[in-house]
Parts: sequence; C-alpha cells; structure tokens
Amino acid sequence: MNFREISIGEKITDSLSKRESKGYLVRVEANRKLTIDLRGPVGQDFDLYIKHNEEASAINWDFKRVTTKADETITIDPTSAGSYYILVYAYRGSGQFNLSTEVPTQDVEIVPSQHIKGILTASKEALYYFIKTKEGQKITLDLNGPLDADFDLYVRYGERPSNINYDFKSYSGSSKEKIVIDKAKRGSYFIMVYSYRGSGEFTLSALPLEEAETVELIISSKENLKKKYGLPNLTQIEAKLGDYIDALEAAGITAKLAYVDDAASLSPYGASPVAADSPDQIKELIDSLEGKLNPRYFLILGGHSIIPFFRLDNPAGFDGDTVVHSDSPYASRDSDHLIPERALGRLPDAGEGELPFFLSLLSAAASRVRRADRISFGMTASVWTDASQAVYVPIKNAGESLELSPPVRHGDLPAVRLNGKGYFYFNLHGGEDTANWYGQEGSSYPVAFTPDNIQNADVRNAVVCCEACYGANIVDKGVDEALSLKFLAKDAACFVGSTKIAYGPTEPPSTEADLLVLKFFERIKEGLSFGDAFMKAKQDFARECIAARARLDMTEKKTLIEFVLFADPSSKMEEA
Amino acid sequence: MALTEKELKKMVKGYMEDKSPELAEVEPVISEESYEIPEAVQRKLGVRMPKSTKTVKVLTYKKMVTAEDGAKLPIVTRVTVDEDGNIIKTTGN
Repeated sequence: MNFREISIGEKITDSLSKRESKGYLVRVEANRKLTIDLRGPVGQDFDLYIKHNEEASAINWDFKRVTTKADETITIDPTSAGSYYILVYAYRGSGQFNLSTEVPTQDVEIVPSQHIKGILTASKEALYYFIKTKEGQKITLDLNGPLDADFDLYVRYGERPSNINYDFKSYSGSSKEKIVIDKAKRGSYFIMVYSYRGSGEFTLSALPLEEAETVELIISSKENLKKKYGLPNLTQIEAKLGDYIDALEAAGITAKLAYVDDAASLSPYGASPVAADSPDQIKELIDSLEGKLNPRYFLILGGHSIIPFFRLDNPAGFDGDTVVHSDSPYASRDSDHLIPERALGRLPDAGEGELPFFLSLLSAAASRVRRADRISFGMTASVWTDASQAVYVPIKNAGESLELSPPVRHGDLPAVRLNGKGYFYFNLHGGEDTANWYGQEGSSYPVAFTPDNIQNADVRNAVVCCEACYGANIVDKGVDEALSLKFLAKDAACFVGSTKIAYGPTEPPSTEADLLVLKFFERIKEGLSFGDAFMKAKQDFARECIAARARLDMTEKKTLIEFVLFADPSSKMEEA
Repeated sequence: MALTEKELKKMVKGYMEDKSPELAEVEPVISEESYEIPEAVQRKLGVRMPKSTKTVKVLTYKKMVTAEDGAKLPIVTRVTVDEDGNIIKTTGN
C-alpha cells in the first residue's frame, strides 16, 4: 500500500469509497506531542490506525481510534523519532475527509529589527515564530536559507499557518524568500519556515519599514472635572491640557483627548459616552478606542474622583485590605488584569481646593524635559536592610548608601540631603491614615520620612519608587496627606507605589514589591519611557516569579495589581 | 496536606518566634491556595506551564502596631507551607 508523506501542519483533503483505505506518513522528532485529526462525513464511520516506523493496517497498529463516527483524533505524547504511518479506513460509508497533523511547540517571538537563526534538519520540517504588530505597521520578513535547499515562508494572522492555510506566502524555488505586510492588523502574525526540500541553517529577519503614528490617548471626565472645580476652572485646566497636547505634538506624539462622558469629544472616534463612575464602562470605552486609534501610550488624567480606580478583590485575603485600588484593568486588553499590555500612567489631581497642584502637574508634563542628576537617595527600615540593598543596586552610585531607619529619622534629613537627587527609593512602613513613612527595628517604628522633608527640597524631575504600604494611596487625600502627591507637587517626574498593603522579603532574593521596583529601576535605566518601563517591569516580574518557582502566588498577584504609576507615560528620565 | 491546622500552627510558631517575634503570639488565619497560572497570563507572557494541582497552606499573621507618632500601621507576615509540611516562603510588609 502506498503511504503518502504529509508534513506537520498540513491539512489534506481526500476521499474514501466504501471499505477503502488510504495511507499517509508524517515524520516527527522525539518527545513531541503529535495530534492526528480526521474529520469525515456526517453519518459515516471512518477509522484511524497509526503505526510507528511500519505501515499501519487494521491488524498492525500502535494506536487506533474506531468510534462509530467519521471524526477521529489520536494524540501521541511523547513521540518517538521517525515516521508515523497513518491509515484511514472507511468502515462504513464513503465520502470526503480532512486529515491534519499538528505538533504544538512554543512559538518564538521575533521583534522588528531582529534576526533569528534556526535550523531545519529535514525536508517537510517546519519551525514557527510570531511577530506582534501595531495597526497600520509595515513589516518585511526576510528568509535566507542554504543555497542547496528550498525553504518557504508562510504567514497567517492570529494563528499558525500551514502550507494550505495562510495569508501570505513566498516560495521561489530557492531558500531566499520575502514577505511584505503593507498594513498590518494589530495583534500577532504567525510565521512558518518550511523546508520544501533539503536542510540547513536559516536566518529570519523582521524589518519595520514604517512605524505607525505614535498616539497618546488621554482619558478624563469632563463632568467630574466640572463638578469638582467649577466651569471657570475647567477652562483653566483645558488651557493647560492644550499646552500639554501641543508639547506632545512637538515631540512627535499625536494626542487624542477622550472625555469619557462627553459626546462631543468621543464622536470623532465613533464612540458614545459612558458613566464616568464606572471603571468597567471606562475600560470598555478604552478597549474600543484602542481599536480605532491604536495608541502607543495611555494617560489617565485625574485622581480617583475623576477617573475611578478599579476596586479589585484582594488576592491575599486576611491581611485587612478588602479591596485593592488598581489601574491594572485599564492597562490590559482583556479580562485578565495581572499582566499589562498598555503603557499606561495616571496624572492624579488632589483635593477640591488644590487646583493649583493639578495645573502645575499639567505644566510640568507639558515641559516634556525630565532631566535630573543620576545621583540617588535610598532609605529603608533597618529590618529590611539586606533586602533593600539588592533593590538599590540599579540606581546606586559609588559612595552612595541606603539610609537606615532607625537610627535615621525624618528630623535627620534636611532638604540639602535630598536636593538634586534623580532617583529616590523607599522601603519603609506606611499606614492607610497617615502621610508619613516609618522605619522599624524590633517593635520600634520611628517616623522616617514626612511631607515636610520635601517641602523645601528640590526633587524636580526625580523618579520616586516607594514600597511602603499605602505609599500610593491617594483616595480622598490632599497633597499634604499623601507623600506620593507631595512628590508630584514638587515636580517629581514619576511616582511608583502601592495603593494597599505591600509585601516583600526580609532578605534577598527580591520578591513582590522589592522585585517589581527592582525591575522598574532596571527598565528606567535602559532609557524606556515611564509607561513602557512600568508595563515591562510588571511583565518581567511575572516572568521571573514563574521561572523561579513555576507559580504566581497570591501576594505576587496582589503586587501586580496594587502598584500604580503616577506619571506621564510617554515621558522619560534623561540623566543630566 | 498531612498536617492538621493545630500541627501547622505549632510548627510555624517556632519559626515565627525566631523570625518575627512581634507576631509570634498572634493567632494566624490559615487558608489554602492553589498555584494555577491563569491561561491568559501564560499567553501574554509567552510561557507554557503544566496544570498544577498543588495546593499550599498559608498562615497569615496580622496585627496593628502604633508608630512613634501614634499612627496605626498594619504588620502582616504570611508563611507558606507546602504539602509536605515545609515552609517554602515567608513574606511580610
């Protein structure tokens, strides 16, 4: 009997007469998961027999599937290296069928400008990759393989291509192939490098030829701003906002302002107003605007009373926090809110009578220049000294050391000790009803840092990260009631902190808040924008947790949702 | 988990007396947690993890302390114990 060779991922269509058999074979490597799927006509009865390295028959098989239908699936896991012979047999009836094989492997991501090397060891073998794309982006994929082989390139949006199902293909008879996607959709394109003939090493390159327009989506509530500050003051806010939008334009970023409750601001985008007190509705609106505007950055303008935080269930129950205030769902494209996919930050306002704070925040954002000295200031509760040393590493310069509390107290820190610092790191205690942060040694909790410490200090353009519990709790707080707001009032460029009880270890390795802040500092030092650094820090955090312990536990999940970024997400630190 | 809650508390109490004496006398809340990584998380991170059926016990010790200026601060320690009774993680604020 003739067994026709088919390739992994190939979907073939064939037909059987009554009591007829047809044979196929597929080659696989060892220790893979091979799925063979037969889809036959309704009301008929086709069977599947598989034999490794020998022709299969109804009496000679390693695997068989013989139900009373014509749809049969066999999964072989793990495979042995070699050929699997597949026999399709029409036990009852006749008709057309589809047969497909699949070996799922983890597809490798290729990013624009990257060159990936791979090896195909035999004819009919395939390797899979994917590339994430933005709406409208132009991508060129180049394949260069051996001169004596014939490798082909297939691309499909959203799922793996096969040599039958694809959106783009390039098969020239050599191993030099090229596919250009002129206007990509947002999402992932899956790529198959396929050996039609021969074997050898290849290079797959993705070149971005044309970037899509960089857009920042600004989300706020006109009604809430009007209600809180009054109509005349709204005019002032909008004037400052106009300056900020102009500054973005000058920096090559197109700003799109969306008042979530204002039909006039949403109609150009074909969207309708939503309830400004409903985080769920606001998220839905953001999801819809993203589809239309493809923003690179997302800025929430205003505090909890303007655009509310989500109130998420606390994953680490029993610690006293019933809910967690979070911006994470706004930063996610789906219902999973643990892993952000958007570079998102918030420029919060403060109390009703503190309009100047908000206006000043907008002015600072409009200045766009966030240049500060690379020198740093770090402070930790003494009990966490060892753990904090590990977090301090990326921003620490020669001669700098952490302040330990105790013995250091807030009164020991005059403005001159803080002036001109570009980076601030705090690992102290905090409470829900106090603006101060605290040290610890045994059962002693001295006041380590207060808003008064920066009242007269120059912390302009600084990057500030704080691991204190409630360090970024701004709900119903004024500028002097929250150190996070106080730093922003003093023109700090960025504040990262937790809205609720935050966790960390007493000694390295870094976990939870320590690990997240460490990753953020590392990303900032790479020169990323605040929004990108924060998004990637959370992704790094989750990857490291999973890589280290094959899990994300409840305090790690809480860390992911409770840490927020107060900054213009498209802005970045420039070291002087 | 072979250990009863009483045995768990007794076992971790010694550890707490050594590592977090200020919480050693606090009655912990014991909860069970599983380690499954949501499918969406795996997809977004580009990782594949086998489905885990492992569960652990978490002992949460919490109390409020008074800081030097009178502010109330929450102090929490969470001790994670695996199915074999090993302490595999301690974290706190």
